[in-house]
Amino acid sequence: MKVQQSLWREGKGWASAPSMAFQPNIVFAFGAIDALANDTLYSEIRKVYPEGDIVLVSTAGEIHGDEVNDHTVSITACHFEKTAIKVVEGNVSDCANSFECGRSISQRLNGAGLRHILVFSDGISVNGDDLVRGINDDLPSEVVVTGGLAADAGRFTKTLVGANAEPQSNRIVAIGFYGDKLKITHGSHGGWDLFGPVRTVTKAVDNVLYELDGENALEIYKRYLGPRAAELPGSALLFPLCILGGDQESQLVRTILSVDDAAGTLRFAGNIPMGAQVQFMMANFDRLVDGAAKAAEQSADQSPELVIMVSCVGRKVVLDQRIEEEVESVCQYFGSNAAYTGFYSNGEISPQLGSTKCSLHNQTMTITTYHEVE
Amino acid sequence: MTGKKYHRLLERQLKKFLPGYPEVSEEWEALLSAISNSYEHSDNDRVLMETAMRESSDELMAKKEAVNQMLARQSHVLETLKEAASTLFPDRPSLENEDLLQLADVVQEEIQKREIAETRKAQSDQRLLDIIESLNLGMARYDLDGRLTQVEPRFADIFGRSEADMIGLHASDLSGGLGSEDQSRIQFYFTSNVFESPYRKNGEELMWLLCTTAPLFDDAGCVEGGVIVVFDITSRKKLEQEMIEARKAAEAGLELRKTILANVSHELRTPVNAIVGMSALLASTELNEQQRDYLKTMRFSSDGLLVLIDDLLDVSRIEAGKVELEEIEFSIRENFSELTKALRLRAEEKGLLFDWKIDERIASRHQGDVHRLNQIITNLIGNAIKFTREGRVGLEITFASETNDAQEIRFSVIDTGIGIASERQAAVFHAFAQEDSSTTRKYGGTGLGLSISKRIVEMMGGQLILTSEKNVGTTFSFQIQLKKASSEALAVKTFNPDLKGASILLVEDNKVNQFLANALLNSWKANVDISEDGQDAIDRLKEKQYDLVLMDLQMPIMDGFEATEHIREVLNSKVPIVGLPANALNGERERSLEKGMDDYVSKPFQPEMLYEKIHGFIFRS
Repeated sequence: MKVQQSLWREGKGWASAPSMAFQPNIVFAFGAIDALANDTLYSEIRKVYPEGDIVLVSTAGEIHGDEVNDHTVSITACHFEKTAIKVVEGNVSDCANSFECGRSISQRLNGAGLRHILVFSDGISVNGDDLVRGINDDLPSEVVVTGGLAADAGRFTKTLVGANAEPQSNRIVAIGFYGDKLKITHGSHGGWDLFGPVRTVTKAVDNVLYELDGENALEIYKRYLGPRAAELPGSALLFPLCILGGDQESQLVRTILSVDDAAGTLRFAGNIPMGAQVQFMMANFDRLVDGAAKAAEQSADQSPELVIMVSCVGRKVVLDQRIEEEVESVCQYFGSNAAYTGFYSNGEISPQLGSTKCSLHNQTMTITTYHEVE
Repeated sequence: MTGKKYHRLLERQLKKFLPGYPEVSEEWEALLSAISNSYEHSDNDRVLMETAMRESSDELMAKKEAVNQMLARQSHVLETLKEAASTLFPDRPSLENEDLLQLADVVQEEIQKREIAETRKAQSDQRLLDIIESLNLGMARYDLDGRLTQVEPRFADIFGRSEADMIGLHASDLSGGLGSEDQSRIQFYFTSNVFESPYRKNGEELMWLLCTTAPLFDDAGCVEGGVIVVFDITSRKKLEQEMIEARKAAEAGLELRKTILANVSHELRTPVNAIVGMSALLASTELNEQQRDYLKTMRFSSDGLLVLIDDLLDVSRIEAGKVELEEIEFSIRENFSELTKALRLRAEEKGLLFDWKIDERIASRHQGDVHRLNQIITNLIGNAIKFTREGRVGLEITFASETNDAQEIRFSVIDTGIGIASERQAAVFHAFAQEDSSTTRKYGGTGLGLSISKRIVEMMGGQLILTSEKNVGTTFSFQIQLKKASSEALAVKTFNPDLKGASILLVEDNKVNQFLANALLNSWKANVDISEDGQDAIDRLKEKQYDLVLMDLQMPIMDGFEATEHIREVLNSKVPIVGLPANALNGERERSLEKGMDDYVSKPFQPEMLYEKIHGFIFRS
């Protein structure tokens, strides 16, 4: 496979111009929400690459090489030589629910030789959990599903996704990879510390949380955030909620997408089951960076050609200017032969460790590596 | 530049270490902004961490407090549980050191024990039910409303219904088509009861059930319902019914035998009576010495025969309960002075000494059945004479006690005879029994006398007591109460019959009786006409006025009852009619009074009694 990368600066145009001679079969464009909304990026990219599918996703920060940028678009054009690619699109408003959207997508992609589905979804209107369950519902277990939910720089108001058109809200794009020459690995790790008392979910409907231990959940968040409560929902990223499972591996982390002050509720990127045991999580700087390195180790491919990182917007809020350290640790692990791209998302999609059934993660660094073998 | 542009720490650092500050180049400004933002971010992070840590710490403290309270509560609960456990399981060794988990184990263990015990009890209950079932006992329970709440299979089977169908039924629903007025129908009592009840299963053949009920108590000891156990006794009941019928048949047979006996006795008595009567009449004629001797033998034999027949008749009548005691005023002294004359003669004929004595305190006159009293004494003294070969026979009449109205008097008959062995003493009172069968051959007699005497003494309220020693002698004694007569001094009656001028119609078909009665009436100077049957009597009464009618009952053509009815109703005559019933047993006397006769005189009639009755009717007014 061959990869060509270039960078677009919001309102300014190409920072590094792509080569018109390169003929990709798939182009990834991870870009700042304002750039995608205003700069008619699809037309610009199509001018450069008349052939191949172009996929656009809005972000809360773009990973380009070993840098993390804001107000840019990271464009990665890939030419897979031995792998067939198929792109499908879904509209959330066309489906009964997120689960059905996921089912529809995987049904359209499912076919002979399907190895991998990379899925990018609207990050506000979609219940990521249900979407992932829908995709998994009828899929052969050996198919690896990864991806992420689009973001909007931590504003949680509007995200954009598109394929071969200017991106729009409520869209889901999925790319199917076919053939036995493609080697895919994946890894996902958080690095957050659990703290405070273990609480029980006493009232929740799907991904909307009402009460913990009979107390209003939003009030608890506000109490813990102190002065930062004014920055809700963004500041809620500082204290993700961990749903405790029977063992550490089955722990799931959930990010708040929005708050409803009038109703006193919190909406999460994934479902919050009634009766679940939950605990607050808190950033530990070193461990977040370490977590990214662990995700790289899990993916266990020593010589990938392309590495797509989907990291959580919450990590970026915490790490701030030191956010690049987690990207650097991944780059160091895989070395300089690979091309690196990715974005900060509202939710990461990746199989649990030790399983190919994917699920929605929050607050993790999730890595998918690609390379084609002889 | 003025004002604080950067983080305060960075401002101080810049003042201190950057010469020319606040003048900085444009390139430096971007760098300094980034540094300042890092400082701000770090401060914010610290504040956030502190807030979160404080909140978390507060919350954990509160939770710890809650846990402490819970622990305190649990330890209180543990103590309470221990107390409860030591009360519940008193035979358990001390629970003092047990913790909650061990206590739970203890309770678990005890519960298991109890479960086992309950299972055993249930099994034993089931065994009991099985036994009840196998005994063919039907069992069921009912509540306070008298509705069946639990029905065992055999119970349902007896009633020919299903167990489920019977739940909720009342006792009245089990009548089986028998009317509710039937007193012996099934009832659900709340007391212990045993009763027999008929039941018509499916409207078919009548069956009989033996039912037992018992109350059931709740834990507080209050009656909460009852239990009924039923047993099919139809076959036993049938057997019982057959036995009752057999007994009735046997009794009827016995009754018939008695009637035959009475009738035979009567039929025997009539001719013997005629012989006696004729002998008496013959004795009053001119006879030579040889004829007189023959006549004496004939009278002795016929007297004996008459006694025998009278005894038989008495036994029958006593057994049939037909004997009634009469209330006659009499003097004990005069009576026994008279009676003993004849008996003394008989004793002295056999070479025995005879004496009798009477207590001075005994009143001069009493009321009672003197004839029956004489019968007893005659019998006892007769026996004494019969069974005594030498020595004496005596009668002692002694005073026992007295009230204003009556006296207790003891009569004792003493002999120096052969005596009666003690083991035989009880048997001598039985009818037809004598000391042993050889006695009859040696001494004669019917063996009925003692039995009759005993029964009459009992009717008089006394008891005939025997004391005897073999070969020394025997004493028969009894004590009875006799009322004192209201007027002790009554004129001594003399019998001088005189019916001169009276016209009497004698209605009698039997020639002997006709002859006897006619002879007696003629000797009393009455004018007598004779009819052979009821119809002839009516015809005569139409033609002639009579002072009195003597009416036999059983006659050809028209019997005495019908004739009397006719006389009273058709002839509308009030002529005194005295019936002459022959049979003591069949209620003829009562019937004759019912049909309109004024009185009766039983045959064979005693001349004094017949005279008294006739005299009373004709000359009283």
